[in-house]
Order: sequence, then structure tokens, then C-alpha cells
Amino acid sequence: MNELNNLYKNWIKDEVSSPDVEAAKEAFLKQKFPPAPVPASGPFWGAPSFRFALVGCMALLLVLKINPIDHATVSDPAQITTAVLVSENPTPDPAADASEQPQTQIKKLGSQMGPTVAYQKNFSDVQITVVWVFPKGA
Amino acid sequence: MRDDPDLGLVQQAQSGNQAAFSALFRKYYNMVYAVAYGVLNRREESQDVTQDVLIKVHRDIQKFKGDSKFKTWLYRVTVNASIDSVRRRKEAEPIENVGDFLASNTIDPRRAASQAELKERMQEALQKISAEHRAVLVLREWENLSYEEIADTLQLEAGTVMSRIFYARKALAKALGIEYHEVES
Amino acid sequence: MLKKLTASICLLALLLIPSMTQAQNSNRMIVTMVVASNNGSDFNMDNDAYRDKLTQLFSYSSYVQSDLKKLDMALGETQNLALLEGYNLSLTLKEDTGSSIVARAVITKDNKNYIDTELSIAKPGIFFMGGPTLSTGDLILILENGY
Repeated sequence: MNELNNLYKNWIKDEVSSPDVEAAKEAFLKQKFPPAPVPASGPFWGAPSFRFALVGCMALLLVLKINPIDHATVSDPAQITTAVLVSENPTPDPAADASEQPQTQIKKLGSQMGPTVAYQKNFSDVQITVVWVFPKGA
Repeated sequence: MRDDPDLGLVQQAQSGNQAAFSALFRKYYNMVYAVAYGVLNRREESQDVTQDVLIKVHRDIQKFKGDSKFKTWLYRVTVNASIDSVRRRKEAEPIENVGDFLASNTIDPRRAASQAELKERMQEALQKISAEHRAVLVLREWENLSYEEIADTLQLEAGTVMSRIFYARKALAKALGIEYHEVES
Repeated sequence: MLKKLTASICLLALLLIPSMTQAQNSNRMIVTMVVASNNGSDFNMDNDAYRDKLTQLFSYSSYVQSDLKKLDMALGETQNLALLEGYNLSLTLKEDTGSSIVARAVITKDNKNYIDTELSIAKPGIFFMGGPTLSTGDLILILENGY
């Protein structure tokens, strides 16, 4: 299915990025929905303090472009509330439908590489349990 | 109102700010075109539908009440306009000439030939499934919407969306001569 | 006559019980390996049913299926599965009641335990294990029991 998926995406990508399509887009937008002109002078835009602030911002953006801030890949599992097992239904109602009872129960969880967490989420068709490790130094 | 990233621009557009319209449509033109092309598979028709959709949204912006996100509403308008366009087609109309693609600015003729072949194969394969199936396919495979989002957009049941996507993929794979199988579950 | 009948029934029972136990002992686990990252927005999963689950459980922008293996395990058996980039999954079937199992799942690399867990899982049931880092993202395993 990956081959099919890739073929399809490439087919659409080639079309959308076609120079002819891009040219038609620009022509249509300029004609029907042109952007409002921004005045280059005036009491506000022309003020020296505003110009100074604008130059400062552009310089900062240039510095950041040359020295980008590294964003480490963040593993950010959703709905973590405590460090051990968390269930969306922590105190299940005995009268509740049996299908709402935990289908998976953690008996033990540990790691030599960093803190761990376990949590569960009920979807409409299935309950999924997640066990996760945050390796130190990762 | 839902957490809508376009809320500010939409409200400005609704109060008549043309710059807001310009910003919205510049942001979403490619998305509208991609969805239209996914359903119609023809460039000129897709461009017509895209422009019609944006003009319609400009005219009817006050009708958008915020019951859904603006992007969801735009998806819905685009899919409906595209399916309407398919229904208006005459059966005898030929499929778009691949030569139009080759006339564009490609330098490497080998790459152009393989792109043209891909386009032709894909267009022929897509014609074997209905416009409704092509609509869910482009929303899922290109726009990466979830089943629930597609169901919400097209006002269908999630099960209907799933079965349409399954069928569309299977039919497309068969038409393209690709092996296709679902994982046992 | 009655003695013969009783003997036949006992013999049949002796023959059947082991095979019934054997059927109960064999348990199938499907392990799908996924590379999750924030590089791009690729979403390539053979089993599309997991797309929504993954996007709701985690906050990565890209999920790419790397491999899928089916393991048929007998009671007490441990099977080892080579994962990506030197990681290894060790699965042990500790109990099997028919409607649920108890399994131990351990992800290791270079003799270090990354995740060591023991769980009771219904049949069918699903759990995810994740967090070990890869060169291109993070490893997530989808383990389906009894499908």
C-alpha cells in the first residue's frame, strides 16, 4: 500500500507544483483578490522609532536563520497525568458495561534507561494501553 | 466556536476587509486546487472549479457561521462543487491530453516522459472509481484528514468513509497493477 | 459393554485434552514497528486503522511503518525479534486463560533494558510500547494480541 500511497501523492504533488498551475493561481489572485497596498510613508509607518524596530527585528531573524535553534524531537505522549499507570476511567463503575473495563492491566514496568509512564485511552472501537520510556540523554 | 486558526481572518473578511480575503485565499488556493484535481483529474476543469469556489466563498462569506472550522467548510464547498462539475460533464468528453503536461517547463525529457506516463496511468485508473470515492481518497491521502474529519466534512458516517477509502484504494491498485492487501485484524 | 464404553470414553478424553490444551497454548501476537518523528508529515501505515489512534495518542507529525511480524507463541515460550538499529524485542507468554494472556515484553539494546513490562492483555487487545530513540525519530511498537 505504501507504493500506491506514494504514487498517488506524487501525482498530486506534481500537478499542484506545476508552473502553469502556479501562474494561473497568481493571475487569478492578483486580478480578483489583490492584497491591500501598505503605505510606505505616513505618521506611523514612517516614524524613525518604527523603522528602527523593523530593522532590529529583521536583524534578529537573520541571526536566527544563520544560527537556528535546535529543536530536539519531542516525544510527547498525550494525556500524561501521573508517573505510573493512568486510565481515562480510574474508578470504573461496577455497573458499567463490561466493555469499558480495562482490557490491559500493567503488572510491572521499568527501565534502565530513564523514567517510564503508562497510560490508557478508550477509543470508540478499542482500548489502547501505552507504555513509554524517556531515555536519558535522548 | 471551535478552535479555528482562521477565525481572525474570517471575521475580518466578514466585515468587508478585502486584504483578509486575499490572505485567506492565498493560503488555501493550493488546497482547494488539490482537492478539486483529486476529484476531477483535469487541469482546466480543476482551475475553473477552484476559481468558482473562491468566488462563491467571497460572495457567501456571511453564510459561514462557525459551526465548523473554516477549513472544513472550505473542503465541503470544494468537494461539492467538484462533484457537481463531474455530474455536468457530457459522457463523450475525452480525457485531458497528456501533451498539455509535456508543454510545461521541464528540462529533462526522461523525467518528463516518466511524469507524463505516471499522470496518464493515474488518470486512467482514477476514472474507474466514482467522484465520491475520489473525494474521500484525496482528503485522506493528500490532505491527511482522519476518518472522523472526513466524515464531519462530507457529513457521512465514519464507516461509510472507511469503506469508500478501502474500495478506492483497492480499485486504484488493481487498475495500476499494484499488489494491494490489508493487514489481518 | 459398560466397561468397554467407559474405557473408550477415558481413552478419548486422554487423547483430546492435550490437543485442547495445545490449542489454548498457541497465541498470536502481531508486532508493527513504526518510526515516529517531527521531520515532515509522512504517514505510511499498512493498517490504516492506526492513523487516527497514533495522531490522538502522540504529537509527532510523521509516522512511517518499518516492518510487521506475526509471532505464534506457546505457553512459557520466549521469542526474540530484531527491531531497528540494534534494538531487540523479547516476548514471553507467561499465562493464557483463553480470554486473556499475561506477557512480558522487553525492549533491549546493547544489553540495556529500555522497557521491561509485564501486562495482562485481553484477547483481542492492543498495547503500544515506545520511546527508544532512532537516528530518524523514535521507535513505537504496536502489539496486537489475539487478532
